[in-house]
Amino acid sequence: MSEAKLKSSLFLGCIAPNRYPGIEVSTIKTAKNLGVELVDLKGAGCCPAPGAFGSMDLLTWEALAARNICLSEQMGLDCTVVCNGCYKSLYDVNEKLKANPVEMEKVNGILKLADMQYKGSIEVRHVAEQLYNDVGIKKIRDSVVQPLNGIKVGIHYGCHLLKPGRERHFTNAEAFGTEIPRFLDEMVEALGARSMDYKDKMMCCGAGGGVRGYKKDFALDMTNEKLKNMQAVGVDCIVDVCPFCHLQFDLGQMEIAEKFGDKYNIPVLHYGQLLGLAQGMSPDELGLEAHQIKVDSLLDKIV
Amino acid sequence: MALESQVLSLNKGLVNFTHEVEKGGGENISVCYQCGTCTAGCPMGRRNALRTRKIMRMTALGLKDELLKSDEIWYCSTCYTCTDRCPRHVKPTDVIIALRNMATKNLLAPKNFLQNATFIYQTGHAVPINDATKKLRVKLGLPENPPTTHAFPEFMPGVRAILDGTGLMAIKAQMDAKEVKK
Amino acid sequence: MANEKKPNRVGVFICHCGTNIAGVIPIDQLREYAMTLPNVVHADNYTYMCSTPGQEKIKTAIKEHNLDAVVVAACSPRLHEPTFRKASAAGGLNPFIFEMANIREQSSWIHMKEPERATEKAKDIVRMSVARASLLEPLDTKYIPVEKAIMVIGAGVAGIQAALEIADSGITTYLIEKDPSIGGNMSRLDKTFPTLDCSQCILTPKMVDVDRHPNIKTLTYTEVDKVDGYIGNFTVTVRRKARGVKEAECNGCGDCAAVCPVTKGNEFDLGLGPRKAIYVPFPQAVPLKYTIDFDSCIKCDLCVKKCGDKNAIDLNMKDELVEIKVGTIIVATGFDLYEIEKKEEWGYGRYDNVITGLQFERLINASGPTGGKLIRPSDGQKPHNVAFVLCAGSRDQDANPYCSRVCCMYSLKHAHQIMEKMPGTIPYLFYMDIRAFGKAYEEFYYRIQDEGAKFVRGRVSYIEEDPVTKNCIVHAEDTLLGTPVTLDADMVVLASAIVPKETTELLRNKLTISRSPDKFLLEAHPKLNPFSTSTDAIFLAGCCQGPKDIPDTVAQAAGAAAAAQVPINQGKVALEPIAAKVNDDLCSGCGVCGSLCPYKAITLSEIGEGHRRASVNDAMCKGCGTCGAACPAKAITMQHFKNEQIRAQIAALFTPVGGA
Repeated sequence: MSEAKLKSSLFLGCIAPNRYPGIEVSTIKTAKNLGVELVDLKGAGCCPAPGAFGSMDLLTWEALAARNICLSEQMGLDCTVVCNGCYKSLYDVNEKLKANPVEMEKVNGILKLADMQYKGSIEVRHVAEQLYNDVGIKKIRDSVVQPLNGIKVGIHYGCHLLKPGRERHFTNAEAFGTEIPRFLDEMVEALGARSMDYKDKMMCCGAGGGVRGYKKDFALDMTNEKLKNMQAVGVDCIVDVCPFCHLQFDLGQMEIAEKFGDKYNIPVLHYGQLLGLAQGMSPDELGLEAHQIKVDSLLDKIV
Repeated sequence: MALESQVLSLNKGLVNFTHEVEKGGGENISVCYQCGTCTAGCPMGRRNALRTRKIMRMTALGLKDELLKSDEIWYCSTCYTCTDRCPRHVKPTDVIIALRNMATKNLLAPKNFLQNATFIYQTGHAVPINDATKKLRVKLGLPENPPTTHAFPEFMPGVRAILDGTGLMAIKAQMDAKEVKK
Repeated sequence: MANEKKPNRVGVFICHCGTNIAGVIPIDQLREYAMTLPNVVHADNYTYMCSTPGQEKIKTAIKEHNLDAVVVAACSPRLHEPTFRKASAAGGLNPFIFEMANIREQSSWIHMKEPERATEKAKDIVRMSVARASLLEPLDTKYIPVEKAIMVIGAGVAGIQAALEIADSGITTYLIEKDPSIGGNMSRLDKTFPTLDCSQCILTPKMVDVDRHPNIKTLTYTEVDKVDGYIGNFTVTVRRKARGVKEAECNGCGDCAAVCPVTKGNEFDLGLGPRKAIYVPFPQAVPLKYTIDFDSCIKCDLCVKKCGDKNAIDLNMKDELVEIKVGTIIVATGFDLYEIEKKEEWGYGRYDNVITGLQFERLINASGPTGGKLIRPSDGQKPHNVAFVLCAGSRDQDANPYCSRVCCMYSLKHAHQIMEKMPGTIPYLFYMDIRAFGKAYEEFYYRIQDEGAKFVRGRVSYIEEDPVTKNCIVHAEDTLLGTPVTLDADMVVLASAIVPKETTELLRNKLTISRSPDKFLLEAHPKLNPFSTSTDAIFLAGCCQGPKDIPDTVAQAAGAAAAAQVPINQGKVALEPIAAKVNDDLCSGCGVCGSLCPYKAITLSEIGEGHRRASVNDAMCKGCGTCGAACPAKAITMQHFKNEQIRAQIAALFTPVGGA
């Protein structure tokens, strides 16, 4: 059983491959170093975005998500995602259709138009969940060649991975609670960094639900509040597990500087990239040049 | 010049609206007891006019017209804090999404949402790749196009069939036609 | 008895039950149908058969038509079987040649949208009942003597009240309490709503009465270990836990505690204050005897030496098991507070200045750990404001779905106490509803509003802690304004939900009584009998049956006491003659029945050389039928539920006879 959990298809989503490919490459390489094989999932598309897309029509959302799950089913592999939003789309739809034969039939009626059929034969996991539960903190700690020198990390858990808690069924559930989760704190500290507590740590970044597209000011105001709180405790960087939050914090800092005049210069890393640094990958290998906020200040603190 | 009545006639509320919303994913809306836990935890509510509890109240009263036309239902970032904490297991986020679905069917969704549908229809991705990222991918040792519909466009007819099959693109077309008329 | 003539003059009486039955099933049709059934010589109907005229009809008809069996087609036997058995007896029949056909709960009520099918089903039910009635045999109620003593388990105000009522009637009462002192949660309270009586002041006289009462034997630091026996004749084995202190010798002087080197959190003060390993929980404890917490005691002997000649301490004391025979039992084991740290959004257990309602009682109580001063746990300072979170863990699908009933009132009381003791300190009550249901309760709410307490109608969503000041920032929505609000609060009091004690669950399994889905003990009937259980001779009092305030607790305790005394006063209890009966000639002594009996009612005894026979204890037997079904020799008959009677019912179902 543990072997099955250590090889899965990799669902990329949109932002990681198409804007921050460093997330893609670091996730694959660091996973490999930990004995997890992430295999290309051919032909996947947008998950589709649960907020921006699901707001329009849930049936289309379910059908497109089910199509992506089908691709993994056809490979006979569980599916790993790197993004909270993709997690909600694929995990929620997978659970819903498995539990509800009427809904499954409805969705399969649409999938038929694409010559596909959803069977409900695989599981969906977030890579962070896979690392914590299937690989384990000890192995993660043992894979560190470049301890992170006590850098202060402001962890952003994001929203769709953990909430709503009663619709999530993680192993080691106490570490995945919705009010005071621990798993990312442990995963960050295992790398020799220090996870900082800050005001409203569990707050949303603001980008989701289509708000970044429709009312960017609202989204940026939320991001600004989070940045302020993180700055107040002196974080050296922000670590996320969601490319959309990642974009909101990274590109968002530029937009905030322009719109509100607040400047933070706090580098933003996806956990895969932080893990990559700790495992000795070079900044170039991590695709950091795609980041709007330069990561140099952080790198200086590590080496 | 008569003054406009400030009184809300409850008779004008749609009696079966909560049922419609429950079918659309907003489970347990009928047992909401208006405690306000949702609004109190809402990160958007503290910076704009979104009052989650009030939306639940209007839904319970069946004020469909006001809700579908409102701007506030589009302010929610779907962070699910309200749904997570609701002591009655109402799902305010999903109620809002159900309302958004209904609004979309009534051609009331903001344009940017339907634009996502177009991007997916064209490329499979809501955020398609750009040249700068293609270059970076190659630099990182990745193929220029990710192994998604970008590298394998043969999967696109399937994607399009789904988007056409549920009628979403037809809605987009109707909205575009409305725009042109304006 | 086997040669008795079987009934062949059956009377069928159909009840309309107002419109409950008649509104769905045409009674005339059913009555006419009944007359066509074999052995039926009389059929009648009435609007309310259970009423006096209804019962009269049965009595009269038995005489006029020389009936030898009665069938009443009406509601559930759980309601009126006793009523109609008595009516049949009044008419001269043996009360057990009576059968109830339930055409209400089993037809008209549940099939009310399909009247035709309901009517057909009612006919089936009546037909089956007539077939069975035609095979019923006369039986006699047996009586067994009752032990003239009552046990009350739990010595909070409910147990104390019940014990006093029973003892005053002259009946020996055993009052069992697992804690070192009696008094329960009420002795923790400061003032009680709405009168603002000092809780200890009104409770301690009762505690002293209990201690002094010649008819009450109080056993503290004692738990129920095992319950054997049956109604009227329970043998309860209690475990007198090793106190380490000889009760007869200890005079409560406290010299031992003064020298004890071990300090622990005082459970009575909910961890807010200290006690020694040898301790009394509070100064007004009854009995005022010291107790050693052997989990913490290091056996240093300092207390033994200090106690000196009084020789009251025995560090080698062991638990003692004592058997007590009683006739009836009252369970009054009270409540605990819900583990509110599970609601992580409010920070209990992580933030210094978030406490529970009971902890507030200990802080504001003059005999508490701070001498009655309400102070912030983080820095010992007086709070300038206090936020109260109502419905904390109650009315919550993720915690306890029920309302805990007393928290609105005690939060109002707490607000009053703050405004009275600490002028200038402002209480804020965050509520969804204010439930002020009792006598003078609404007036109390008015008073607290009038005194200046602040009310925010909004449930607290989450609380943050300021890392520097340790203040609690409370987040809610003022739903009446429709605005999200925050309060920078010096302290927060969570009105945590009331739950039954965990030890009650262990106890109830020993007593074989049920609980409701909310985990409180299950009453016999929620409206008409909240102080009994469905197990005869075991009664309930106080919060173990459901959250309630002191007036309701005391009232229920008195009710339980009255009910518990009935079998004692009558001196006997009736046994329904539905027990299993062993035919000695057929029994081979194989013992299968005894091994299966869930009530341990069957014993195997030697008769003659190497021969065994099973015999059934009628009092313990519940007539479940397990033995009757299992006996390989078919030596066991279930009285009143014999095989031929049941087979006749089944046959009648599948072979309809009689006209339309």
